[in-house]
Amino acid sequence: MKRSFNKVFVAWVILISASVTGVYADGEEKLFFSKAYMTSAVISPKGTSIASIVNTEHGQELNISYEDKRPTRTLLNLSEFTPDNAYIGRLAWLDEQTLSTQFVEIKKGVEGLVDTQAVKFLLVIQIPKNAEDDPVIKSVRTKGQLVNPLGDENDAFLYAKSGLYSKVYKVKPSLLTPHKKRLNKLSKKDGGQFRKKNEVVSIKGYAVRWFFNSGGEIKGVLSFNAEGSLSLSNVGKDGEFNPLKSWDTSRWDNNGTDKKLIPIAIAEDENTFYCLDYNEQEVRSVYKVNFVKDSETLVYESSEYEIVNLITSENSSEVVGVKVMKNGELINHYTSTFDLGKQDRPDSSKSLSSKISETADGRLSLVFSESFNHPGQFILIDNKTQSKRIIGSTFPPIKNPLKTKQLEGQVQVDGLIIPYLINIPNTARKKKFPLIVYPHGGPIGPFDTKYYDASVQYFNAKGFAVLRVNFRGSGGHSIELKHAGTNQWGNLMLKDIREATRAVIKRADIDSDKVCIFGISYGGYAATMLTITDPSLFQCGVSMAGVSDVNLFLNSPYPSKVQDQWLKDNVGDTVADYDLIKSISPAYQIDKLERPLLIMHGDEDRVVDVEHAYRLKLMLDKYRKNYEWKIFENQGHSSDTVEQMQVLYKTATQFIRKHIHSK
Amino acid sequence: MKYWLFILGLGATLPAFSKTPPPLKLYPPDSVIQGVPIKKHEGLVLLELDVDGTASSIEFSRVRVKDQSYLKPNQNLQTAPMTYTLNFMDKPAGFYFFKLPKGLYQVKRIKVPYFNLPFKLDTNNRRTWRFSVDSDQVNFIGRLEIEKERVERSVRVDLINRIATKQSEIEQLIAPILKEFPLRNGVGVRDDFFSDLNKKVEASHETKLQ
Repeated sequence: MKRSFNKVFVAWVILISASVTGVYADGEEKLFFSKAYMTSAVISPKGTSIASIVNTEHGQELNISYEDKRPTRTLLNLSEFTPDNAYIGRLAWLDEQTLSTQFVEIKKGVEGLVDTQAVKFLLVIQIPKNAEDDPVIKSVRTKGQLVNPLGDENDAFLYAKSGLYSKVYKVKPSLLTPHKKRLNKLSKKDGGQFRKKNEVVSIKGYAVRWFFNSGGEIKGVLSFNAEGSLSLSNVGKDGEFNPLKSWDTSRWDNNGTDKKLIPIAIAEDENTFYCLDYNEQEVRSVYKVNFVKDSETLVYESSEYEIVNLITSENSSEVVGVKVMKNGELINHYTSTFDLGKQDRPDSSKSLSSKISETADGRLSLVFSESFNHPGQFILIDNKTQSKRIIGSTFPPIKNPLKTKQLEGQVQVDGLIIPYLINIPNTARKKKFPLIVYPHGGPIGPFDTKYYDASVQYFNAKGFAVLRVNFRGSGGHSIELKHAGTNQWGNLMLKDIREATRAVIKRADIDSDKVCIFGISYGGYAATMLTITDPSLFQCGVSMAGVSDVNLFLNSPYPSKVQDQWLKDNVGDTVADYDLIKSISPAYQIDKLERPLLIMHGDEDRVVDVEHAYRLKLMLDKYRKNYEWKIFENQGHSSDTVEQMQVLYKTATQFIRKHIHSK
Repeated sequence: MKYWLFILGLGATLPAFSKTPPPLKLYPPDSVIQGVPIKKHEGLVLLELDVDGTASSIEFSRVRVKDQSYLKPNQNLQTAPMTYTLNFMDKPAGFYFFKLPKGLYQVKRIKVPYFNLPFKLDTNNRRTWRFSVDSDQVNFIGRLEIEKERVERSVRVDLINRIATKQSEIEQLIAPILKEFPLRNGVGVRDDFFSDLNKKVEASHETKLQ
């Protein structure tokens, strides 16, 4: 009887502990931290095919799915196509059977002094009607770029070539030669198509961008002239140029105070453009600028990464997202709206739905959809019947929405509304969850969004509730909130996080005795400082790539002159404010630390140097404090590989689990 | 005869007026441990190099300040006309010493070859390219990195403050001379870290730890 009772007791303990750790066992890091699978997709003009780029374990592939549900076909497998490090991007249908993609090969230079250069080609792929035949892969050898695929016109696209005179040519894919095929004496490069008779428009000067309206007409050009000034001109119906705006680049202010708004895409009319501010410390904001009315509106902010380009729908020229640079890789971020007023507001939806491509007749749409508990997927929608079909996912292992909850709240700190997000595991058996407070990096500009965040869902799966605070300085909300972060690194930003934590631990589903704080970059700084200053609130702290000495950070060799000035204005002056800066640096406050700390850092971090981790370590040793420490070899400021990310979150989780009960 | 003496005398005095003395000699740690003559008011400067043996060099000048290891608020940078040079040709990665009189210095220019095209980076006025030297000490001025990989005609060159990261390695490397020449942080901006680290833990804190 006693033995059987023991068995029941053991089974009960196992059951309870399973509910404490959530429904996922250890080792599930791979489920949440893996390379995105499908990264972009575009529908053909008549809708018979959908082209997509996917990442496989062998590298990138270009696939074709069919409207009639024939099996998906791989058109191009990069690892088989070239032995060099290469990637493809920007898909565009030139007609129903012809697809183009930008192909980039990284060529290493001579040994001993490596001169690495990217060699770019526009690949033009003719898809055979018979699925058993191989596609014909051609390329444009003339340096330049595709500017309009002319998807509704057979065997033609517009290609721009820049130089002293910049020209747009109409090019026929059928006259191009196969990629890398040697030309004989009788064959001309690119079929001899780059000549006067194929010219569509020409401008004196080096054209950087050509702008087209939704009807495919050339409406504007951004170009440098011989004197070095940059001009934006409207292009009339007869190809005449009417100057709209000019910038004297020799007088450009590089001190970071004035905006340098450069057009990237045309908006609703020929005088209005979506622009990026190249004087921003990191280019994260998109403005809509009317150059006739001289008016500007902030319409979009990237939550985390620097914007490199805007994504426009090839069929309609509408802007549907931004291309951002993440760990040296270009990533597409789609958006449901280019209207900051409707973006990331508390009353807006928790899911994102962005129409990224449409057939010429509007019959079918390709939509990218994402929500807080489900990573993105590409969905084909029949606009007549509203029937839906999933074409592919960014993270196929997560098929169904995760059973977690996301709630929004706000707290008032010193007269300012501070918004926050709480993510709660939805395990029915458990009533109270330990809490991880997870401040974002930046800190001025970046912010936490309501959309899918793999690390948050991972912590939820491990049984932790997660609090993300959009403290002052965060973007994506009001200008007031963002500007309130100036010179508040070690002061009100930390107070915002502290006050939001105090508000959230009052919730019935949060265990107020089990709270730890984890952050990366500025988040790591905040985690360390708050672990020192608030031992009654936080049982432990985890800092990844965190700043430990603000003076060292401000005197870092890595920022440009513009960034250096920005840091001086927004964080502090290392000469005039030295004592204040020292007082908000964890390395000099570590004698007060009462709770265990985990320090992690990449040894090749070029944003927050690894010296920060070593300074903290030496001070922790000096004062004989309780800490753990991990240096990631060959890692920069953020995790460069999914393996590094898996180790980072696993290590953090194990440390938090170990110490969260130790109050 | 008088004429020749004049020529010889002129030849002997001219170098003293020259504004570019010959490049400073770089010593590996072993030579310094075996003994390098140090003049009065001179300090040993320690630099960690990772320049991949390229024929790069740096030029620097003394800042016109007295007994200061960094510039104070509202103090303008003024440098002496004499330019010192360090050549890194064929120097493998590692620690190197050179000798300099006590003072604050500004690196003004870095020359990096780019195939047959010289690449020059003007670092004048940039505070992160400043370093300080104290006499009779080992002044660690950081790690100089010149990246081997050149992407699209740009090259990354940094002088990185790494006193905490490298402390243990340096102390092991030059242990025999540390008593005579204690290690100090030779950055040219205010940075209290190393001196605060080496301050004794206050008695009240010692008690608390026990």
